[in-house]
Amino acid sequence: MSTNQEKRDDLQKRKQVAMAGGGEKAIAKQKESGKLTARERIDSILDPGSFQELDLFIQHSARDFGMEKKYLAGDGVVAGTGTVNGRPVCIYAQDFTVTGGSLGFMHAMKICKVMDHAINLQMPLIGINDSGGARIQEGVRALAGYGEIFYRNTKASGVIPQLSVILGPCAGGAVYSPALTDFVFVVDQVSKMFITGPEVIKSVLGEEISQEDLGGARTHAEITGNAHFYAKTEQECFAQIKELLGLIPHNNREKARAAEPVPPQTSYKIEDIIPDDVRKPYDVRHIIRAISDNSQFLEVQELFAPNIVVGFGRMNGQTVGFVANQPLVMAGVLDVDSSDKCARFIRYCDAFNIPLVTFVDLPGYLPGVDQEHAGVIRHGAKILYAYSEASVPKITVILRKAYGGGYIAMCSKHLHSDFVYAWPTAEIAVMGSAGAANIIFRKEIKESENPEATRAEKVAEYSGKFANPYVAASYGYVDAVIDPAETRQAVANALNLSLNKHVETPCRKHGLPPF
Amino acid sequence: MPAGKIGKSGELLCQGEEKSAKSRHVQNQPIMNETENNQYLHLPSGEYETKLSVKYENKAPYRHVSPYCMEAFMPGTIRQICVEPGQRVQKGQKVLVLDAMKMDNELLSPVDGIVKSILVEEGKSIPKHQLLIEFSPIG
Repeated sequence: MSTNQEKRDDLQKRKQVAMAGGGEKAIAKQKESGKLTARERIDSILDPGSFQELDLFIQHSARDFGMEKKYLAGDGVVAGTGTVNGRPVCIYAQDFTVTGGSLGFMHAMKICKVMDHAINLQMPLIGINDSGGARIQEGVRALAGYGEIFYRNTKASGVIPQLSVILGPCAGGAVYSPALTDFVFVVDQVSKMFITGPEVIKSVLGEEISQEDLGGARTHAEITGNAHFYAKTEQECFAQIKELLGLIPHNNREKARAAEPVPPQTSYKIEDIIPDDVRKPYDVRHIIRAISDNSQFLEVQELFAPNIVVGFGRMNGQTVGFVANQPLVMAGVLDVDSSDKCARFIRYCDAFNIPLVTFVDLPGYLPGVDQEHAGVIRHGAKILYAYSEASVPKITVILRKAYGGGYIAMCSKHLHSDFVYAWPTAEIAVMGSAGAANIIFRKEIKESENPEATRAEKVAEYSGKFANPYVAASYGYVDAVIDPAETRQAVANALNLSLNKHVETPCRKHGLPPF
Repeated sequence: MPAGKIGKSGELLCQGEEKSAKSRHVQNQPIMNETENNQYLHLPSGEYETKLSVKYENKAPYRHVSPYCMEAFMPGTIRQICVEPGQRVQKGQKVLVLDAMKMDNELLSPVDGIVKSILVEEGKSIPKHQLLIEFSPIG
């Protein structure tokens, strides 16, 4: 009969074995490929000493192909709870050193357990993906495991923040979990995400492409839009995670934690940013930083659809979601990708009680057969839907161009923006002066002795009359025309007034946004 | 409103006024260190100086394909050619079998017409968008 002390010693031994993961050789291989281990990643993200592990001693339930003889530490995943910035989170990290982090049924159940905790105990879920995919030996049981995870991702959607961190391969069906979460983090040369990999694509289609080009970090950050945060190193990625969690609420019942209000820290003046020439660009992020607390701005999907800018900041200590057309890229037009990016961000903020501040300067939608055939109609409609649906405080500042459908879509009064401000440089019109004059005065121009001079004269006439904020203001579509220097004050005031905003939504299961 | 004209940079110049066409400067220093933008995007409302996105620069221009030209929708192998040059076909008639994605795909004539030319052979592997059969209208 063993003593209590012997039992305690035995526990420590078992823990050591389980915590060794796939063993020293496998860990060395992981490091050689430039990757951290699962435990190192968890320790880097969580506050030191806060990690409470769950299911360390879980064992796989596979019975075929000699599996019953194999011991897989933790069944290839490390999971538990901890704190980030002092606030509780649930976290799991797949362990690539244990059979390539392959997902078996118990591995999935372990993940589901922390997911259930996150939902029931109302805290964020961080999922670190680093896995070769389904454990083939477990057959359809591995698929069942994935299914259970996807269902919970959906159940948790809009209830708690879900972050997916792709720190290795994430292929085949496995990619659907990140795709169902709120924010996907990728790291250059480390992340690999695709449904069918290069080998299958080559054999079926004859198309040749490397893993990195097909589904690497940069590809997803820039082209597919599947990633929301891009980092050069794992450490940079962890810093991004912590910054994001510091800004967003930890569940949908609370507001984001407030910070001490700090004035913006820019050396330039907000009124000097926009060039006099309406056809010249500027970086709208300068405007955001000119009014946000401490000039902090955590941009989301920075590299994807750069013609629109979305991200989080603070005003008067409160977290705010900023949306802004970006004249620096593609003249700030709206197109398929920017519509998706914008609508998704608006709905995130709406789900988590984050007020929206929108800056408007766009010439309209991008013309083109590729855009039309790609469905710019139904994608563009997503922005209209998202802004109309959003019941969080909505504040709009029209900086410069706001033409046609773009004017309506970018949180106009008609979509029930709570406060619409316009700068003196705003041009709120059904279309640009050149286009409008050509249509309205077509006859005069055609019949004129000097069509070019008449055209110029008519464009100037239209521009003088309509390319300003005052016509819209005369109808009450703009609440106030403000000097740029007053912007921070105006927006901050509007946000303070909107703290208790309450809007009734019609009784329905859910609406039908254009998917 | 006094009559005006459009200045060099598109701004409205009222009678008697003159405005500098340069962008705003403070003490002759540029405000922002934007890297040079020397690309232009032409839109209905005018031409804008801006950067172009990677996707926009890489996009393939629209290519019109006549309905009388039948292209392969996927790479594969020609398993069977079911028609001959000069043969009259109905829209929807099976004209070719393409082995692709592990299936025998029956390709149907897109038009009522006459087989003008067949550009592939049975047994040959072909890439995506390969022109397979050309038709000519009847009459």
